[in-house]
Amino acid sequence: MITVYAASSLKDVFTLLGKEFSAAHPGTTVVFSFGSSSTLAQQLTQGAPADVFASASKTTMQTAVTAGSVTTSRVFATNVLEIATPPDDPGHVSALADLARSGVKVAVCQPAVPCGAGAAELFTKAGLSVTSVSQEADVKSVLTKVELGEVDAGVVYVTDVKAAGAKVRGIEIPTASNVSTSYPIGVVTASTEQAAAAEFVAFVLSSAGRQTLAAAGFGGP
Amino acid sequence: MTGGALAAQLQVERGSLSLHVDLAASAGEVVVLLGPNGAGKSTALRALAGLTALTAGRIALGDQVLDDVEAGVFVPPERRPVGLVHQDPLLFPHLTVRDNVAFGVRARGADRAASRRVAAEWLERLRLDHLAAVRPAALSGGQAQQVALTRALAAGPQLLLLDEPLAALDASTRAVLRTELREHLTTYGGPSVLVTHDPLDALVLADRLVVVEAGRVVQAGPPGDVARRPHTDFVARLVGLNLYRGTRAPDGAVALDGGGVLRAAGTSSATGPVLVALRPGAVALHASHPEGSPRNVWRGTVTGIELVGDRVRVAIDGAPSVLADVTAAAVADLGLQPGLGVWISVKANDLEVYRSAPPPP
Amino acid sequence: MRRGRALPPWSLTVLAALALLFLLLPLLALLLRAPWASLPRLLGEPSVRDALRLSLVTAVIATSVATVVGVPLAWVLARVDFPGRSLARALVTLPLVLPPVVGGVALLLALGRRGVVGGLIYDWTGWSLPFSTAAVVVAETFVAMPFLVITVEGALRGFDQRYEEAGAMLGAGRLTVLRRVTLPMLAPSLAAGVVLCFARALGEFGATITFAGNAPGRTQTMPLAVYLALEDDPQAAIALSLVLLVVSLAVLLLLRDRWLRRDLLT
Repeated sequence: MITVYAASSLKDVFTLLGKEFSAAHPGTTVVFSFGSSSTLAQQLTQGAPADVFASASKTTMQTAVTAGSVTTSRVFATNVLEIATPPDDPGHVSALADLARSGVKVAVCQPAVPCGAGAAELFTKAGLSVTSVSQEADVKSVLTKVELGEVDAGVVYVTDVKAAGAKVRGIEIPTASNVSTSYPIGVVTASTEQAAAAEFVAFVLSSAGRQTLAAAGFGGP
Repeated sequence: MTGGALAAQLQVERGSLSLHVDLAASAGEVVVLLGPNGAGKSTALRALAGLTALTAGRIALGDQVLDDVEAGVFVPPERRPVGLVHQDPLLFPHLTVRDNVAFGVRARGADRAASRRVAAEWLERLRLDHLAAVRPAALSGGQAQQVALTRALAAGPQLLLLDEPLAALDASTRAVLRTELREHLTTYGGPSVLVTHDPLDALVLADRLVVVEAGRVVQAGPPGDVARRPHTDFVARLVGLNLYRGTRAPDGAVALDGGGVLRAAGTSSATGPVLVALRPGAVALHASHPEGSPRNVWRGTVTGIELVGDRVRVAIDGAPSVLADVTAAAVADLGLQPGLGVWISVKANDLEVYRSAPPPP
Repeated sequence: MRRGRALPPWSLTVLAALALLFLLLPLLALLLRAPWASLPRLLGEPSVRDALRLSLVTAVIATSVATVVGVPLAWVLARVDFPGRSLARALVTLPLVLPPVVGGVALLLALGRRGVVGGLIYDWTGWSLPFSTAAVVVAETFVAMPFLVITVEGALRGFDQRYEEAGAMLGAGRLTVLRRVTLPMLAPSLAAGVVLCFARALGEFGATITFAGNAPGRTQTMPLAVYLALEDDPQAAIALSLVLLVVSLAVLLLLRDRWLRRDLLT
C-alpha cells in the first residue's frame, strides 16, 4: 500500500489514476491524502508517513526538497486558472474584468497556497484591483462556495471547472492574460515503499498517465 | 394591615394523599394544626399559600376570595396577602439581614430607601437590629428563624402561615424561641395557622387546636380540652395518656373494647360508645391485691420498663393494658421486671369518660 | 502515622499528575519553542492586531447575545413543562457534538444567499450574511451558546426552588424572583457558563471559516490567522498561537477572580 500526498486540485484525476494503477499492479493499493500543497509540505516536514508527493506549484515542491522530504521531482502536468460562477450567474460575470466590479462577490485561495498566489498574479497582470470576500484554505473550498451560490465568482483551475461539470459555469481566461502553474511529483525520501512509490511516479509520467491527465483538462509537462 | 377572618374548605387529591379539611381562624387567633407526619398538614398550608392547587374547595380571607375551584378563581401566591415561615429560614444568602427583611416591602412597590427604613423598624421591634448588616450564613439557627419571621411580618401579610417553624432547632433554642414566637403571634393582628408535630408547640402557642390525621380533622378545640380528652390514640400518645374505647352501661360501668371494665366517678345518663382517658401517673401498682377504696382493681403482667425523666414508665398487659408512671423506689420495692405479675389500681376520680363527638366546625 | 491532614491516596495523585502533564505539555512546548525575539515585530503587524481585535470583539458580542437569549432559554427548559421539551433539550445540545465545519455548512444552508431563510432575505433586500463580521458573530454564537445554556439549565434544575417560593410568598412576581433571587444565587454557575461560552467563541474555527469565510480585517479571526500562517510561516503561527493563549488566559483569570471574590456562602 502506498500513501500519496497530492494537491487538492489533483483530487479527481489522481483518484482515477490510483484506480488505474491498482488495476495494472494487482496487490498494490493507493491511498490518498488531498490538501493544500503548502499544508502537505509542512506535514511532510513533520514526518507524515507519505510515499509520494505531488504539489500544485514548483515553490511548494522546493519547500519539501529544501526540508529534505523529497530528493528529486519531475513536472508531470500544468494547469491554468479559470473563473467559475454558479450556473445561474447571479453576479452577471462574463469576463475577468467583471471581478473588479463593485458588488461582485469573489472568492480566491489564500495567498500562501499556489492557486491563491496564482490568482494574485492574475489580477496584477491584468491590472485589476479585486477585493475578495474570502480567501479560502484550498481550491476545493473556493469551488464549494461557488457551487453553493454564496459567491458570484471564484478563481480556480480549469481542471476544477471540468470536474464540477454542471454544478458550475466556467469562464475561460485568455491564454495571454492567464497564469499557469506546474505540478511536480516526487518520491518521499523517508518512504518505506521506495519501489512501489517509484512505480507510481513512473505511471503518472507515462503516456497512459498523461492521457488521463489530459482528459481531465491538465496541460502537458 | 386590615384583613378578615380565614374561612377555608380545603380538598386536595394528589397521588396517595387525600386531604379534606375545613379551617377557620378569626383575626388575632392562632390555629395550630397538629398531627402525625404525612397527615397532610403541610399540604393544607401550601394550599392556603397558593403553592399547591386545590382539587375542590374555597379559600376566603375576609371579603377576599383567594381560591374558588368551582368559580374558577385562583389568586397566585405572589398576589396573596399571605406570609409563610418555613422550617428552613430560607433567607436569601446574597442579601444582608436588613435587605432580606426589606425584600417583601420592596417587592410590593416601595423603593429601596423606603423598604430599608421599614426593615430597620421591624428589626428594632423584634430586637434584632444588631444583626442588620450581617449575612445569613453568619447567623445561628435561632437567629435565622427569627429573621425569617421578621421578613414575613414586614411584608404586611393578612394571614400568617408557619410550617413547623421550630422543628429544625435544638431543644434549648426551641424552648426560647417558642416563648418569643408566642409573644409575636399575640401582637400580630391577623389570623395565624401553625403546623407542628410537637405537642409542646401546640399547647403553648394554640388558641385553638385542630388535630389532623390521614387528611381529615379528627378533633378540634381549645388545647387544654384536647389534651385532657383526646379522641385519637395519636393525641393520647402525644400528651402521654392512656386511652380506651368502650361502651357505657346504664349503671356507669364502661365495658372496654379491649377487655376489662372501668368505673368512673359521678353519674351520667349518657350511655353508648365512650372514650376513657387515664393519666399514667394516676395508676398505682401493688404486689398483692390492694385494700381500701379504689374501685378499679385488676391484675396484669409487666411487659416493659423505661426511664422517662425522673420517673419510670411501666407497660403492663392485662384487661385493660395500661401504662403506669411510678417512682424508681417503687420499682425497687416491687421488684418490677418483665414477666412479673402485678396488681393495678385506679381511683374512679382519675378517669375521664367522654363521648367521641364529631369535631366542631 | 502522620499527624494532622492525611496525604491524598497515591493512586489518585499519580493519575491526577498524569492528567495535568498531558494538558500542560503542549502548552509548555509552545512556550519553549516560541520565537520570542520576533514576537514584538509580529504584534506590531496590522494583520495580527486586526485578527486579535476582531477575535475579541466578536467573542464578546457572541457571548453577550448568547447570554441575553440563552439564559431565558435555559429557564424555559428547566422550569416549563412543554410538549417536546426533551427533544428541544437534545437539539440545543446538538451544536456541542456537531463538528464545527458541519455547523458552518448548516449555517450556510440556512442563512446563506441560497439558504432557507437567507435566500428570502437576499431576494428581498439584496443582502446576505456570509463573509461579514456579523457572520463571524453568528458562527461563534451558534457553537458557543449551547455551553451557556447547558450550564445554566443544569444549575437551575439543581436550584432549591423553595427560595423562589419564599420570594413569591413575599410578593415578588416570577420575573422579579428570577432577577433578585435565582440569578444572584446562581451567579457562580452563571459566570462559569459565560466564561465557557466566551472561551469557545474565542477559539472557534471550523464554522467561522466555512460560514464567514476568511478576509483579513473583516472575518479573519486569530484561530483562522494561525491556521493559515501554518501554511507558509510556521514560526509566525507559533507566535500567533502564543498571543491567543496569553489573551485567553488573561481573560479567564480576570473573570474567575472577580466572581470568586463574591463567594456567597462564606
